[in-house]
Amino acid sequence: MFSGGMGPVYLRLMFTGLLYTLAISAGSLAIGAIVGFILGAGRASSVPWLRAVIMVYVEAIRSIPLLIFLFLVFYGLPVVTGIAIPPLTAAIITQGIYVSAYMTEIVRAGIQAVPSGQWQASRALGLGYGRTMRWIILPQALRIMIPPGAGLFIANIKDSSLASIIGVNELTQTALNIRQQTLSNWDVFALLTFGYLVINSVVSVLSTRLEHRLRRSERFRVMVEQEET
Amino acid sequence: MNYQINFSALSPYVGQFTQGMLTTTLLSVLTVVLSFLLAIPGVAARVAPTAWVRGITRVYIDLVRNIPMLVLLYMLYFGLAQSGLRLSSFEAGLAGLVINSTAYVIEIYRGGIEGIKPGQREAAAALGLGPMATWRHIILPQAVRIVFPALGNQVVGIVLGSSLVMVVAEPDLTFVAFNVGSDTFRYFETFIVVALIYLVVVQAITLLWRLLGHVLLPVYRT
Repeated sequence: MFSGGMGPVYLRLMFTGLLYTLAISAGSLAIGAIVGFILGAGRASSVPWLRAVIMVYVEAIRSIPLLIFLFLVFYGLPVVTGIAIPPLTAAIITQGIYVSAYMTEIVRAGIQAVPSGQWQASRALGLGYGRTMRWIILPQALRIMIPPGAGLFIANIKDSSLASIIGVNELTQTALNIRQQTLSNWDVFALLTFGYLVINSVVSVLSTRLEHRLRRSERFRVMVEQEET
Repeated sequence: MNYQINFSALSPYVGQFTQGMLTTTLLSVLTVVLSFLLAIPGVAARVAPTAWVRGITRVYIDLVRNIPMLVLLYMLYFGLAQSGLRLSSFEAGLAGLVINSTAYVIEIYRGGIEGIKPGQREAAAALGLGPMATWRHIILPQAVRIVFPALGNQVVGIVLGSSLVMVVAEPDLTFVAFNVGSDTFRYFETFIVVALIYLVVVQAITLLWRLLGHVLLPVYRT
C-alpha cells in the first residue's frame, strides 16, 4: 500500500484526519445535545407559542441542506460581520446547530413517551417542574432516546465529511490529499471506508451497551415492584 | 465594517439559479423513481430465503449507511476515472444518489413488510388465497400505509442530499449558488436566497406528500 515506502507517514496523516473527524462530530454533538435538550423540553411543554417557535426552528433547519448552512456560516457571515471564522470552528458550530434540530425532536419524542401518570404522580408528591424533569421524566426518557440518538451520532460522523469542502483536513480530505500525492486509488478509498466503519461500529456498540445498562436498572425496578405487590 | 446587504445584486443571475434548480429537480426526480423501483428487487433479496443473497444485500446496505455520501461520490467520479471508467458529473452524481437512496428505501420497504402481523398471512391462507392474491390484496395495501410517511421523508432526504453532487462539478442549485457567490462576493445574500428556495421546495414536498396520502390511502382520512 502507498508507493515509495511512505506508508507510515500517510497512516499517521490518516490518524490525524480521524481525530479531526472525531473532534467535529463530538463537538457538534455536544452543542446539539445541549441546545436539543432545552428546545426538546420546550417542545414537549404546554406553552403553545413556545412550541410553535421551536417547531419553526426545527422545520426550517431540517428543510435546508447542511452544505448551504456551512457555506452561509463560513463564506456568508464573514462578509457581513467582517470577522473571519476558522474552518474547523465553522464546521463545529454549523453542524452543532444542524444536529440540535434533530436532537430536539428526539428529546421531545422521549419525553412524550413517558406515561403522563408519571408527571401527575410526581406533581402530586409536591415536586416542581425542574425536579420532576430531572428525577422522574429524563431518566426514563433517556433510555428511549438512545437508539435514535446513536443513529443521529452516526449520521453526524458521516456529515462531518462535508467540512472537507471548506478546507478542514479531516478524514475524507486527508484521504483525497494522499490519493493525489501517491497516485494510489482504491487502497486509499478502502482505508477511508474502513476508518468510517470502525468509528460507526464503535458508536453503535457503545450505544447498545448503554441501552442495556439503562434497561438493567429498569428490570431491577420492575422486579422490586413485583416483589412489593 | 459597513456592509450593505443587497439582494437585487443577484438579479442578473436569475437564469443561472433557474438552471441550477432544474438540474436539482431532474436529479431528485430520477433518484426518487430509480431508487424506489430498484429497492423492490432489493427488498426481495434482503428477505430472500437464500442466506448468501441476504448476506450480500446486508453488506451493501451496511456499507452505504456507514460511508459518507461524499466519499461515495468521490469514488464514483475520481476513483472510477483513475481505473479507466470516466463518468460524467451527471452520471456520477446520479449514480451516487441512487446507490445511496436505494439502500435506505430497501430498509423502509422491509419495515413495511415485516410490520404486518403473521396472522394476516395465515388468515389469508386459511381463506384459500394463493400467494399472489395474498400479496396483492392483503400484504401490499397494508405495507403501503406503513411505508408511506417514511418514503416522504426519503424524498426530502434525496432533495437535500442532491446538494452534495456539486463536489463532482455537477451544476445543481448549490453549485450555482457557490459560483454566483464567488462571482459577486455576495455570499451572504446568495446562500440566504438558496436556503429559502430549498426551504420552500421541501415544505411543498412535505405538504404534497401528505395530500397524496389523504387521496390515495383512505386510512389517513381522520
